This record gives sequence, C-alpha cells and structure tokens, in this order.
Amino acid sequence: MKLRLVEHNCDIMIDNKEEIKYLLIQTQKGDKKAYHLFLTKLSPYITKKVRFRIFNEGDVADVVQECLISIHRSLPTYDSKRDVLPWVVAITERRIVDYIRKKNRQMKLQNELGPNVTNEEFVAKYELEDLKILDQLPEVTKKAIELTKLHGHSTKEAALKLGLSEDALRARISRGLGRIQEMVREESNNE
Amino acid sequence: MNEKDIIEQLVEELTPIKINKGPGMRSLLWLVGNLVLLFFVLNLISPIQLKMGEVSLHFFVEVALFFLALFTGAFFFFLSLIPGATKTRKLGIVSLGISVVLVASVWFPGKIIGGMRSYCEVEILLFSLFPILSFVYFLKRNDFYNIRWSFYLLGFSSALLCTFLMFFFCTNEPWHVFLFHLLPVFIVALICHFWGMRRAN
Repeated sequence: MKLRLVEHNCDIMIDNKEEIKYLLIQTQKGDKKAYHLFLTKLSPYITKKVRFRIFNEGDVADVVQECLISIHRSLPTYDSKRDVLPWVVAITERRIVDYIRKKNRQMKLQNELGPNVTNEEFVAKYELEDLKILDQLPEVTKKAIELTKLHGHSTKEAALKLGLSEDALRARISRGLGRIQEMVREESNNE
Repeated sequence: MNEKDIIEQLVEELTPIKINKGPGMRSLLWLVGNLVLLFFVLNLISPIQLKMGEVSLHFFVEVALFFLALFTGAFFFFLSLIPGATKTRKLGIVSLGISVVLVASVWFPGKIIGGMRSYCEVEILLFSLFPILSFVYFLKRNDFYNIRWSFYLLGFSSALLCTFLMFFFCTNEPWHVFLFHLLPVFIVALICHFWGMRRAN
C-alpha cells in the first residue's frame, strides 16, 4: 500500500506508515536491522522535507545528517500510541529552524567582521601557506573570496562584478571559507 | 562523512531503549517528590499554620484549583518535550490561560486563614530552584521543540509549587497572595521564558 502525503505543497512518498511505525517500535527494542531499515526508508523523506526549505545542496546533506542524529537521540521520546510522522516532522522542523538561525548568525557576524579582515589576517586565519588551495573551489566561489578577502572589494562591488546578489555572494563566501577550513584540517590530519 | 556512514554509525550505537514515561506519570512523580521535600523544608523554617477546623469549602476549592493549575503546567511542560505532541500556539494558550485563571481566582476570597509572613516571596524565589533542578533530572538529554513556552512552563510550575504550599504556611489574604505569592511565580516564569528565548537564538 502506498500513501501519498501532501505537506507544504511538497509531495512525499512513504511506503507504509504502519511499517515505519513497526520498524521504530522494533528499534526501541534494540533491533539493529529494523533500525537500519527505518533510517534508510526515512532519509529520502527527510531529505525532501529539508530540500523544500533549504536550497543549498551542500547544506541539505548536513541538515539531513543532523536530523538523523536528532532522531537517534530522541528515540526514548517516541510513544507507540502516537503516529510516527508528526514525531519525525517535529524533529526535522526543529533542525531546519536551528540551521536557519545558525546561518543568520553567521551572516550577521560576517557582515560585522567582513570589512575589517585584511589580506594578511585572512591568509593567517585560514593557515594558507600558498593560495593554490583556492583553485580547488568552484570558480565563482574562488572569485568571490579573491575579490572580497584578498583584493579588498566590498561585497556590493564584488556582487556587481560577479553578477550575483549580495546575499548569494555572502553565502558563497561562507561556504568557500568553510571548505577551505576543511581542506586545511584534512591536510594537517594527513601530515 | 556521508549519509550512509552516519546511518551505519547510528545503527552500530543502538542499544535497547528505555522509553520515557508518559507526561502524566512524569508530572505526578515530579509533583509528589517536590511537594513532600519542600513541605518538610518549609515546615522546618516556620511550622504549618493551617488548622483543620479552619478549612472551608472555599479554601478546599482554592487549593484544588491551584493544584490543578500546577499539574496542568507540569503536564504540558513534559508534553512539550515529545516531538510533535503539541503545537506552540496551544502551549502559549495553556500557559497564559492558567496564569489568568490563577490571578482571577485570588479576587474571590473566602474566610481569611493564617497570619502573614514577610519572607514568603523570598522562599518562593529561592525554593523554586529545587523543582527546576529536579526537572533537569527528568529531562536528561531531551531536546526542546517549543523552547520558549517550555521554559515558561518550567519556571511557572516550579514557582507555583512553592506558592501552592503557602496555602498551608501563610495567609490567603488576596493582596498578599497576589503580590507575594503570585508575582514571584510570574517573575520566575518570565526569567525562564527569556532564558529559553536566549537559548533559542
């Protein structure tokens, strides 16, 4: 039996709500196979729900992972007398809201700090011994970082040059800087 | 780490789950435990003033109303910890509803029992920490899903528990109850509400 749920104009397919509920009850008893199946069946549903609110693909994956971890932590709170989906949706919504708040905070901080970051500070902050690391970023992200952080352009100027909105530019810079930090960390771990 | 790895790791970490008790049972345990503890503590500070001969039907109704408000506050607090069990708007209506009912009930006084004490507001503010801390025991690693109203109810129920005991240790004179018993409840509730807002942001 296939149930089709329409929530927030987003079509979501769940094979069988009863099956999901059964798997969750078995999970609470410690059945690892049931838990694996439960998470595997649920993750496309969560992904779709997250993708409806968050447009950045890289961030969607992160938020979905956060949701899965949150579901794991919330297992003791599920009462078998209740439906599974409202339980899952509440957890997912909470993680999405947390993500949006975190992003807003980051944006605010970046707006405050942005103009004060000089070239040397930037290079030192991200431990960039050479700037080749930037080549590993997508072209637009690389250009956005170069213009704002290395050549001292304002976000407005850089956004105009690249044909992006200021918000989109800030998002790209934020993602790019995150990626650089990851690469530097990976490199130092390998060493 | 990709999604598959996360799933594998979570499955690996799974152990049989101890399911949380329902919100009714949790509220009852929290209530009884704290009432007994605080009753003894307050009795040590100043002995109980209530005499059985003084108990009227009006007094009994007043006590029952406060107890009901207390239980409702605690019940909805625990209910708000269950993902998807209640909506934020419902929590807000319940929280404000019981607050309004309690304030209104004070202005229908019966026979005034007991003598005033000048330090009951300090006791309420101070002893509400016990129930707040014992809530933390019940929470364990629980996530919050309606954090602002959950925290309001956390503060409200904790302080109201001490206020409830004041029926036995203090007077039921309306102005005294309003200023020194109920206002501290709202102060604690609002502090917790703002604490929740800070956590949420």
